[in-house]
Amino acid sequence: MALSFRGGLCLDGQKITAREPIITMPAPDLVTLPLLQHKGEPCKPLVKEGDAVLKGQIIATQEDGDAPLHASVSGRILAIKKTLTTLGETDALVIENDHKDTLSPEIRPFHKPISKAEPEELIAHIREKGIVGMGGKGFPTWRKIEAARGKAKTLVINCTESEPYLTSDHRILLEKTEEVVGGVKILLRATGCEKAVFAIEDNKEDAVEAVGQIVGGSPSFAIAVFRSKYPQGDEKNLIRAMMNKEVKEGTLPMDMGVVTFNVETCWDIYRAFVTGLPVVERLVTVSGDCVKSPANLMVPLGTSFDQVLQRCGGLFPAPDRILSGGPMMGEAIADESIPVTKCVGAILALSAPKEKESPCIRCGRCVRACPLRLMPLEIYQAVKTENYPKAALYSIRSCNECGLCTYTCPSRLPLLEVIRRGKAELSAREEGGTNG
Amino acid sequence: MAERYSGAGPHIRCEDSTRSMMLDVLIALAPAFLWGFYAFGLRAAAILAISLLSCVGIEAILLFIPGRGGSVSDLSALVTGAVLAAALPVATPLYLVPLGAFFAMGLKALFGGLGKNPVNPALFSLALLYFTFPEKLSRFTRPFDGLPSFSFTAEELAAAREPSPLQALLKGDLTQSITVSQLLTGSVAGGIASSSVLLLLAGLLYLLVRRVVSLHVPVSILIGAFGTALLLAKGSWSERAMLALLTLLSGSLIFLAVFGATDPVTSPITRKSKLLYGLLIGGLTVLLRSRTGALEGGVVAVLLVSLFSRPMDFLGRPRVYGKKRGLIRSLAALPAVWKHRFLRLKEKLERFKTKKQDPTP
Repeated sequence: MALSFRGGLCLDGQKITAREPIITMPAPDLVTLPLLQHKGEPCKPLVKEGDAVLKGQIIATQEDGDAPLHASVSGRILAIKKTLTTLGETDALVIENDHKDTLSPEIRPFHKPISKAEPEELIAHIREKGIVGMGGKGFPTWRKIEAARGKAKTLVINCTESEPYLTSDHRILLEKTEEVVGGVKILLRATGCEKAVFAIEDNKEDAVEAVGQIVGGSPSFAIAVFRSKYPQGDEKNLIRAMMNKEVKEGTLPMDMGVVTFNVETCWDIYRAFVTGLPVVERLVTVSGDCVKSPANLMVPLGTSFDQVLQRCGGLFPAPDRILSGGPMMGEAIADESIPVTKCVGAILALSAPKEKESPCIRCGRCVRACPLRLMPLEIYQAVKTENYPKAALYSIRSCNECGLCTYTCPSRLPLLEVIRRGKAELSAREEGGTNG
Repeated sequence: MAERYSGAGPHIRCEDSTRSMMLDVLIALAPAFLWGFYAFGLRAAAILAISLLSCVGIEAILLFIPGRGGSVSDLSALVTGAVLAAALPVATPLYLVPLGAFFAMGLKALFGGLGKNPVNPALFSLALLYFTFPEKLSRFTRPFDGLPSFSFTAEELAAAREPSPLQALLKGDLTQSITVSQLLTGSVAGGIASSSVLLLLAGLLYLLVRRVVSLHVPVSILIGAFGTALLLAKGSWSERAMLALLTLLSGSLIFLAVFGATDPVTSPITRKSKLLYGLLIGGLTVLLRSRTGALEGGVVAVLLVSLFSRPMDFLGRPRVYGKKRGLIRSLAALPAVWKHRFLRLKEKLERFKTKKQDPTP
């Protein structure tokens, strides 16, 4: 029996690209690298207009050196200008591609065998190569490793990919199995964990088999198979399903001896050690009912959404929205010229969902679907009537914004939208309260 | 470039809608109605038609009141009409049907339309009809008696004097020898579509498959009713069990358990509160039936218990992931919630008053 958790919903997977092999997209003539690749402080540029840069060269770094930014092509810095990104407007380095892909001399394999290296050396290398959580949040991987050291015993490779359409983790597992396992071995040494568990959903049997062939029999590896149900990919549900325990409020999975990493992050780590290449490209699922030829594309960072979509045959029929990320938690972008950053795991072009609101009939489907066992309808009603004590009573702050309440509502109420508004209002009020 | 949506997700929606759920209820009622047409003749179809038409018509008119939620296209008025007609005996004078529809839709509109009514409109209307015209609504006929299809007065229906199995049961008249199999098929005197137990259960099966209702409410009602009947009955345990079984199968209890008490608007949401709700309804139904001899015991029980659905939902709400239940803390938070509600109500009233004084917008 596959592992599972209470709540959640089996969604129509729409894994159109599950059988599409990974294709590498050539870099465009111009790449735009925003100095803000993920939430946190923006990087400071180390180069200026007109400078020549090489592929893989560090061109910007965060003040605390959290996650540096590397040039994704070789060429010349054309401009430093404001650009719109998935995280809002920010400064960006525009590089004119000379199409030579000349590698920076900094790029060479890790200087000694992994088994001889100290964890500190491994962590420093991961930090230098700009590796962040590729699952979407973009938290610097080295920070997570440091936090997990001494606490975590089990390393979980989250390969559940429970959002519809997304297939990039699945493809990496299938095609780059050995490299991912190589990355996990580095992570095991760096974190000091005893065991690594691959968490895979049961709609990816081929991936279970592929991983099993490589790690089968090894005492430090295991595979856990989960029922395909959204949002299985959420750490909280992963742990609930795997260990039959809940992550207590105010604690982290690490406090339970578990630390999770994304598949692509593991792959990136492997490459950073074996070839020395930093994060200069990422795998993007390009899919949706409005993309002509959906694909799993290896996209150089700084390529625009528009160019990626053109590479996949363009858009037909005309989409209602273009998303960065999955259909449940992704965001519809305002402009297709925005560049792909480290956090863009999918580009989806979708037609409009049916949205004809009618009154709540208290059917309770949102309550049954909520993986955190909240009562979205009550929170919705509380925020609508500005009854914030009630919203707090119904634990509005626990909401993880998985979107299932809105998805499942037969009255098509914008439950999550209103809940988000309530959360923002509540924290604004509290700040106002403490400040004065 | 075409105007595109931008913003947060989710960007997909499930197929089901309020309309499709209502349609499912109508489909689930269909087998019982078909049996009713067959058993009670054309008059049964006439009652259903009048009920549906008048419910939809009245709702369409009442929707003109500003602030009423819902629309005719959500099919909720049809469900109300169908539930109302299903429970009426075929000998009901036809003029009572639009009146019942008016009671039902009026209640719904009074509270603000779809989703706002505290009790089920069809059951409310049935109770009101029972109490205003007790004589006219307790005339049942045996199936295949052949009543005139379109007679409007009660006189023509004077022949209809058959007591329903429940009426007989309550009088302690077991000589009537109603068999369990008769009750199961619905070959007994009763409402148009509310007494063929097997076909009603087929409807329940469909609703379960379509996930429109869950088993919690119907099963707990039956358990509550069976248990209470067992305790209240006299005699040996086997006699008691038989009597309790007849109690379950008669008087439209199954109909109420499947189509009356499961109304999403007025029943609780969480599992625990659903179970409590069902047990209370089952128990109260039997109590009301035995103490007052009231046929409408079941209807009144559902109405009464559903008034407490919201508090039951609050008490039965699930423990949030990773949190302690914190019952005391949550009860302590209630006054602030109520205070807010009260202030808001006051604000609304004041706004209403100033509007009255100063009609310029």
